[in-house]
Amino acid sequence: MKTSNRILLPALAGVAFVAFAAVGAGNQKTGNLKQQLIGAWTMVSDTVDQGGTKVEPFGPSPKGQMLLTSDGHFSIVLSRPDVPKFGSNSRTNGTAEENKAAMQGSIGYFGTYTVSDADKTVNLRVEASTFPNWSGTDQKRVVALSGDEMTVTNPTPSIGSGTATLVWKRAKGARQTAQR
Amino acid sequence: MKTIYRTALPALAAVALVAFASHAGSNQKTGSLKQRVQGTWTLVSAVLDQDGKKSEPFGPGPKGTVILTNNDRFALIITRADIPKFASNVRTTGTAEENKAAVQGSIAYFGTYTANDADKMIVLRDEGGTFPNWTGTDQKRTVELSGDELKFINPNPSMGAGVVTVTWKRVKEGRATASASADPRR
Repeated sequence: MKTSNRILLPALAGVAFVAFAAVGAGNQKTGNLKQQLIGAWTMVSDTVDQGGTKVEPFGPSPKGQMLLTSDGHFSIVLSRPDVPKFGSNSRTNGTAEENKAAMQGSIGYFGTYTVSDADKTVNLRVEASTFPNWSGTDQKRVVALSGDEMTVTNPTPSIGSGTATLVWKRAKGARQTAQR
Repeated sequence: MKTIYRTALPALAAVALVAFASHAGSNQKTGSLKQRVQGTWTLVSAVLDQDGKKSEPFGPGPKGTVILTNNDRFALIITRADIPKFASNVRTTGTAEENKAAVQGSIAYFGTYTANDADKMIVLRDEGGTFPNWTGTDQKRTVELSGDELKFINPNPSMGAGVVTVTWKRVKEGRATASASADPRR
């Protein structure tokens, strides 16, 4: 038995290691840029620098989320928390003022994405957007990662001129925490 | 040596099985409702039924996605395919007509979700989005799953009266297929 244990235990440990390394690959925080970006991100801030003048297009405490999936899909939704509710309670019966505030105070878009390690860029291929001009376009973003924070720079924001800087924080999910 | 193999091989097989069973848990198609709805879905159709009168609130060939993550987050976006582009090319300077067409032709929201197996229902907690009246609300959807097709049935749609049935199709996972080849048992 002594001899068999000497052979068995390292063998079992080896198999377990290989198997769990494969399991961990889907969640790892190191590795190529794409692997580091995969996940759910919530918005911290969105600032546009227009020739030295800084504006916050979604207000001082914007709400937003970016999902980057392991299968190459993304979705981004940003909104001001203070867009007035529609008096009719129906999305298709807003007044001109309600529609304007909603349009100016929010955006959503989705599609597929690719990542360039060399350029530290993400290319978002927008399949469709609530801002119709972005549907069918490629939106290129420069990304910088620091721990659980991601900074995304956009030189062509949907509000026109300026350079937008979006700061995102990795969302801590209940299930991910439970797994640790 | 023969004795060792008789003991070792079943033991190795058992360890491998346990390890891969836990891996499969994140992708499995059976199991709890929550496990089954997780993933990326693309829009097939959205149909509004108002007392038997059926219409397509996002027109023919609508675009959309819902993503339900394994850490309880979701995002849902639906748009008409034919919303006119803004002449200014700037989101914040649309005309009244452009704003109206965009708002009436699209919706996007995100937040956290829960799934209830007993009621076959998911609850989408709207944290933010393009329709302000839904922000901060719980959006309940009855769910029907059949293979790679998912239906959301919504008795309180954002356009007012009626029942909307939104049909989604599961996106094929390129990466999941690729990672299967890394299976050391092969």
